[in-house]
Amino acid sequence: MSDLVFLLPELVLAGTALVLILIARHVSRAQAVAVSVVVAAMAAIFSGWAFTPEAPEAPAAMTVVFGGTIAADGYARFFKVLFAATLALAALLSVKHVDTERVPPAEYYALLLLASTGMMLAASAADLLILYLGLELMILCAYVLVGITVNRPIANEAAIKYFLLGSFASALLLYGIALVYGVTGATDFAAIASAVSERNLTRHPFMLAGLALMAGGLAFKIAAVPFHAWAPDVYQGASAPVAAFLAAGSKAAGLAALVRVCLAAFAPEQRIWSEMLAGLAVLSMIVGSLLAISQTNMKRLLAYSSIAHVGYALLGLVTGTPDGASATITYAFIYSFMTLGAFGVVIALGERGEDLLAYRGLAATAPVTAALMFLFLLSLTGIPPTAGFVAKFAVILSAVRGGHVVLAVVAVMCSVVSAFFYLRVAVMMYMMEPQGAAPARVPGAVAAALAVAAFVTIVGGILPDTFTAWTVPPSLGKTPTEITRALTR
Amino acid sequence: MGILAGQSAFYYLAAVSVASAILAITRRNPVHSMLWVLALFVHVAGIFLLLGAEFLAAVQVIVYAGAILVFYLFFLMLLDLPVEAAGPPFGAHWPLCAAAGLAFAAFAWYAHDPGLVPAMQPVEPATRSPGSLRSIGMALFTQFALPFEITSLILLAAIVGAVVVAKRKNVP
Repeated sequence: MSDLVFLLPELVLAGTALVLILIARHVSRAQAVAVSVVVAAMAAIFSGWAFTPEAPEAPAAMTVVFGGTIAADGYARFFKVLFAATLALAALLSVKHVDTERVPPAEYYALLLLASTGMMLAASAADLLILYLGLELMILCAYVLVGITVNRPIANEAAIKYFLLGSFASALLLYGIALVYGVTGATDFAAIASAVSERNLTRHPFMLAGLALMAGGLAFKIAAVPFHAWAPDVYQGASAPVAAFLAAGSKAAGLAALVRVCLAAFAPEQRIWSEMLAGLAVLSMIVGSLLAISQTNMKRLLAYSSIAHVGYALLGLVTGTPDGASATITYAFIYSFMTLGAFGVVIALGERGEDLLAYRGLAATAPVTAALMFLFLLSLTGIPPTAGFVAKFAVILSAVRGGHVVLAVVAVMCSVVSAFFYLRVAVMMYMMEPQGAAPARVPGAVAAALAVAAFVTIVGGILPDTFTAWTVPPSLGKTPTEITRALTR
Repeated sequence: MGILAGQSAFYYLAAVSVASAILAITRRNPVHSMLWVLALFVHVAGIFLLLGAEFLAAVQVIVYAGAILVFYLFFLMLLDLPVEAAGPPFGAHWPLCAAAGLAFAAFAWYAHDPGLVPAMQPVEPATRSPGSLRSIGMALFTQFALPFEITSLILLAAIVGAVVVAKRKNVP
């Protein structure tokens, strides 16, 4: 029972979702629900912070609870805070959209809460079973959220595409898990790692096939090339707040799961997954950056940018060192906030925010919104005073230190390409004549979310060491005696 | 039951499973295909029974044959496809699909080699005697209580999602 304390953030979110489902009939306005969701997210952050032990002090053997299926380490805590913050910002960004699109508010927010619960579980899983269930909970809610908009054919199409491809990717992941279980006889990360190294299964064909299938399934979740085809359509079809939530939250959840699986379960096969991930990273960076150039829809542009950013984030993990993993999760954290900010500006501009040409002359009609967009674009490009630079610098540095100089060169070249399409929006905003009337006033909730995102983007850039204390790599699980005890139980 | 009887039962079940699977994908009439799939499910349940997994066999019959197959048949009848409009049974990609299937078969054959995959400790007969249902229940509510609860959340999300998506026609 005492183990439940470590799942308090998940319990808070799931409990709030259950209450919302119960009272759904009596809720008609989104505002009150959004406030309760933000409060729940705050409570989740607090409980995650208060009850999870500090990673450095706690011995590695103490960090696994629930019979070795849940890791209670600093890594899990970091991602729980990130997911709760993403949830709070997405809840704020959604208020206006839920009211105008006639989406049932209680159900919408309940699905957001359950999706965040799934992300938290996936990030804290120390067992392939929990990992799969957490990711499945997340993506099942995401399918519905993408298609929840009333009477929009493009949203229905996006939801169907997402569902079909997502089910296929889930099947890949599950088949990979089954193969790994078949060879090692365990779903526990630590037990898999020790079975592989003790019985020398590193080159076992089933192990390789299982690893490749799992990498494919997880690459779908983070939209890495060649598993990216769904992302532009889904981001464009989904309403902007849902797209923001997916771009920030589900991507970070996929990265969290990938980093932990690679480092904790497949540590003996580091050479193999390192090469696989290097391939994914190079393809994602190049394809994402090149295809983003020709986009005319802001949400599609941000979708391709998210594909390229996953490539950068993977650079840290490719090295396979704890420092590299820290760089990757720092990237996931900072990317979440800057992409939430960029989507927030799209939401703030309303319908016209989706068309790239609508940004012409925005600096004259809405100077504050334009300045915020400029900040997020600078950060996405990776230009110094912003957090995006710090994140990109960290992953490229770890790639160079790990001896992957070619990857680092590709990353820098893709950043140069990406500067073209990010800064083109800035040129449109600041150097062209305004088109049409000034946009309507930004709603208070959206303004609050934008302020938080901008704050993180600026602080992360000016004080780069702010986050390094939190971004600890995953603990590597249990000592061998703990494993035998878990197996005999 | 003698070893010979068990073996011949297995070979009968396996042969009929493979045959009905092949028939299921080659019939032009979708309802006939579904009925062959039903035969496949029942025979696979028989294989589970031979392995001593009574619960799995019952689930196979109740869930797959009972629920999922009926669901498919409902859809087929709602769509009401005329036989000639059903189109060719195989799409343009069938060589690719056949290759994937053969790869699966090769993979399974490879797994058959006993030296490659370590032997699992067989379940002791003493713990198995109360019936597999009881041991599944015990495992589900002790060791796997947390995954069980997460699964219930997944089902809840699926129900809420289905209601939200289905209800929207009534929104004025």
